[in-house]
Amino acid sequence: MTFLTLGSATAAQRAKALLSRRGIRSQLRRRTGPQGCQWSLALPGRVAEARALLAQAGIPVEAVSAGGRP
Amino acid sequence: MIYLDNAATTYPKPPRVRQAVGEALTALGANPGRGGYPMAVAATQAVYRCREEAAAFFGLADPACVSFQPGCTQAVNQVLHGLLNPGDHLLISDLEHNAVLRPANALAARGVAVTVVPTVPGDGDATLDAFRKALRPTTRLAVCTQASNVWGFRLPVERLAALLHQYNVPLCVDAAQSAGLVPIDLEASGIDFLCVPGHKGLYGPMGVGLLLCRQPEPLLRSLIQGGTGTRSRRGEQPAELPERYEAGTLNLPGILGLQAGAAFVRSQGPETLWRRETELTARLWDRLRALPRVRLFTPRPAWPEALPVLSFTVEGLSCEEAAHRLGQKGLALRAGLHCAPLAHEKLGTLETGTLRASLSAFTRREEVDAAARLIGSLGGK
Repeated sequence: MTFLTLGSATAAQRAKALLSRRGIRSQLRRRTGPQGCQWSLALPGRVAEARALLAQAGIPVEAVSAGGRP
Repeated sequence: MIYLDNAATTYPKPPRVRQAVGEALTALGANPGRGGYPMAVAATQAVYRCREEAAAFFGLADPACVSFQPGCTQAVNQVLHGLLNPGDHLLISDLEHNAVLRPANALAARGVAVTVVPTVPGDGDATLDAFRKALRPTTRLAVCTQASNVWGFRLPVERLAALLHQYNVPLCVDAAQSAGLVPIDLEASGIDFLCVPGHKGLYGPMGVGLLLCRQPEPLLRSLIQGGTGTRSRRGEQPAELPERYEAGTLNLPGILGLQAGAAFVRSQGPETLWRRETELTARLWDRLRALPRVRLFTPRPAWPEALPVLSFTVEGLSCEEAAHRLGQKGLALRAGLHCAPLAHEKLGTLETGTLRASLSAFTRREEVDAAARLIGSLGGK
């Protein structure tokens, strides 16, 4: 599982909706990182494609992490 | 009871609003945006869906530019206090509610120059001219109601936005009486900030409203600071929208009630509601005009120039006494200044106040006729 950290709950859900429209599965997750509690999307795959789509839509991904680590 | 005080808050609410509020308290009781367990995530997602629907309803592409507020007043305060600094110049119309006038005066005490612009009801060109003449190099913001909460006059806010943008001045619109009736498309209209109550024309519960920003910039200072569920190690309010303007726990029952109320409005069609309510208001105007002791101050309401609000006085009775007697007979009207002293001063009713009748989607023709009969039956002093 790969986690994309987004700036807010709203940004995470906007991102989730965008990825869903492109057939990319994701889950909303709360995680604690360097800035404190953050919203993330957990992706089982297609990470590079997802990041490219989000960048194209102007939704910034603040951090990418793998597995159980924040 | 015949309820004609819908400009204060609509009543009754559609049944689905009551259901939505109840479900928020039972099925979705978790704090939205704060937890990662299923019920909290479901609450977060429910809020987001409402944000998306509000954005679509008001013609915004980005749901992040929709923030939930405790009401329209707080939305107005967020814009004024969040944008203006000492030395700036603010324009407000002479039909503004105290929700605008009071924060403007509070800012004036801190060095913001404020000009009250005389509008000309029914003459959009003259109103625009008045705003143009009032502009200064330091003008940083204009605030204008879309419709008077006392007289029902509609102001040309779309044309005003276009004028102000020629001078790089943003426009904040108080849509307290118009949201849910007058179709509003932020992208097309050029309105920069739209302040909306949830409990009036959108038929939601009290205690919830919306601030819609056409663009993320200019970024406003947050009116209040506090938890957002994000960036919790940082001591400053986050820059991201909408969280920047949403410190503290959101009013989930209110938000879901607002969502249900807005769905009701969509199902009816705002313009359909507006036309019907204005026609009924004109019917009331006709009947009141036939009563010799009633004084009307505005022309016969006509769509699309008017909103369904009508103010009047009854000769020989103070407006409060008249409202009290009518209340005893089962007719709910609001008497006084309606928190809008500027609007009353404009038409010469600042000393007396008026009685105000305001309709909703649930007002029936028979109720309008019965209201006119009750007003006609009022005795003297």
